[in-house]
Amino acid sequence: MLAFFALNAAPGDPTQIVLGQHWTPARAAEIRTRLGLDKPLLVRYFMWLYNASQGDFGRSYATHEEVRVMILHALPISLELATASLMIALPVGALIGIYSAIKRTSPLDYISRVFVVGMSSMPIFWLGLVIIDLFAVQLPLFPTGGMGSSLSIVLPACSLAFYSLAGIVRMTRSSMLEVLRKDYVRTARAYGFSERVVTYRYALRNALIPVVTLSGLYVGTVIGSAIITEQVFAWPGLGSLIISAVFRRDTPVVLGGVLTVAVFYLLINLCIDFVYVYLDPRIKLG
Amino acid sequence: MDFWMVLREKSAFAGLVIVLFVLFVAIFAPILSPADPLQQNLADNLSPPDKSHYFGTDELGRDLLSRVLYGARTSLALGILPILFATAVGIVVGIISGYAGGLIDEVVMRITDLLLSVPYFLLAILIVASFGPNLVNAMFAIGISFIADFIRIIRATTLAAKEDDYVRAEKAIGAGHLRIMFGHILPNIISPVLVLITLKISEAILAAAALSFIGLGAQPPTPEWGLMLSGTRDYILSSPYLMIFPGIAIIVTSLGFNLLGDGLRDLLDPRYKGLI
Repeated sequence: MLAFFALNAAPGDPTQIVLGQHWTPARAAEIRTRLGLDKPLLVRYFMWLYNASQGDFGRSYATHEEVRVMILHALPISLELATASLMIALPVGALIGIYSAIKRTSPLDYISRVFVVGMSSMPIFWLGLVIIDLFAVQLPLFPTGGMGSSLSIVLPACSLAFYSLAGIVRMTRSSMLEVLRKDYVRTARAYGFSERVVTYRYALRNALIPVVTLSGLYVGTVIGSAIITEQVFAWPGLGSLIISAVFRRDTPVVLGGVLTVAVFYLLINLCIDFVYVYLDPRIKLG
Repeated sequence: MDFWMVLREKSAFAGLVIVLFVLFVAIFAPILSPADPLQQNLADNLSPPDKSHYFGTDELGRDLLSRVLYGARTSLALGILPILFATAVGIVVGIISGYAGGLIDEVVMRITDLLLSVPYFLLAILIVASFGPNLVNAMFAIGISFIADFIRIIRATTLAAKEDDYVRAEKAIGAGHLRIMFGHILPNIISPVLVLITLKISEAILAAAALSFIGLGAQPPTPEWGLMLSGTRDYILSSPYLMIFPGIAIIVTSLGFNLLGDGLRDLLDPRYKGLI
């Protein structure tokens, strides 16, 4: 399975215009041999694949640092941002979605729908810029970027959370609406359970199943937004690492970074499959 | 679905108006613009909005209004062309895959799995990174990263349509496979594809702006909204207006396609009305 998505990363491979500020044909050939770039593409690809499966992504062309070390340094920084924003987005998004579905056509529902459509039309980096302008420039409460102080995480996390919120609200709301008109909800009401019990014990649990499925697809979008958010707020995580490596044509770093993100992406989707089984005992993993 | 129904559906109508407006701006940008979008005037740089420059000027003294108007051309092209490309590939591959089934279907599905195993924005970055950052490669990258979605959805609708009576009837009278696929199945599944196209254009515009913003899409001095925003971070203290107008332009355009797509979907499938 690992080979499978590593193949994806292969197109980034054939770039060798790297160490050449003092470029001469002789030195270029020497460097090429040292980096193994003289070998045929296919051979290089399988060598890279073999090494990568052992956790060795080679060394950066630009800094000669081990790519593994660079990734291990950047990854926790990215995860910190991701966790912080998810901790805001998931509960808030789910709550708004549920209320919006129960109190359909209420002002809150209306506001949340406008919010959802607006957010899905807004570029994440613009949201980031506006947040910087409002809360770091106009009201200098937080630093504009980097991770100098403990307050640094607030703005990027909020901006990413705000963005993910829209998707979560949308999914929860439509799924809740779907479930609320099912027969078993009516039955539960007919038994005389309170509206609270009906909503949370009967409807919510069933409504969560499609939400969980959809969120698997949504993770990709969130990862994309996270990369851009890191860029806007100069957050030195994996996204920033990949993008700066792209500009330096630092292929090993790009490949290693992308592979790491892809592995996480697949792991998250795997976890989602497990959550699925937990929520709906009828489903068994094959 | 006929045209007049679109006018009766509120959000589709609003979306259509916005889309037509942006198209109008893009086509007539040279007439509407008060100045040349590339003309620099360093003496008059970073001037806030006033009567001579309604949106102000940027760090090189270029008229921001003209750049936003011309930007409609680049941004629409970056949103629409890749999606047309992805649609074309998606229709051909998706219909064949769904219709033929068997080994072809299996191979196509594994290839889409491969494309989907990397988040699409990362895939776009990767493609631009390997072919070099410029406008054409950015379009290509965005197109490729949306292909898998189109193939999947078109294949799924084809699978459903394949069992319909009219396909059986066609087979019974001995119609060829090509004729069944593109003469009969295609027209029958075209409405959901239209909705998909509209919604994906909105996504593609955002993705293109983001690519340009990080420097992997349109290159300076092209007037492109994402690119225009990428410089503004340095001037956020002195000239916050710089980021307002291109940002609003992106939101309005993307919103237009979103509303149109949502509205069309409601029209096609009233079950989802109000569910978003």
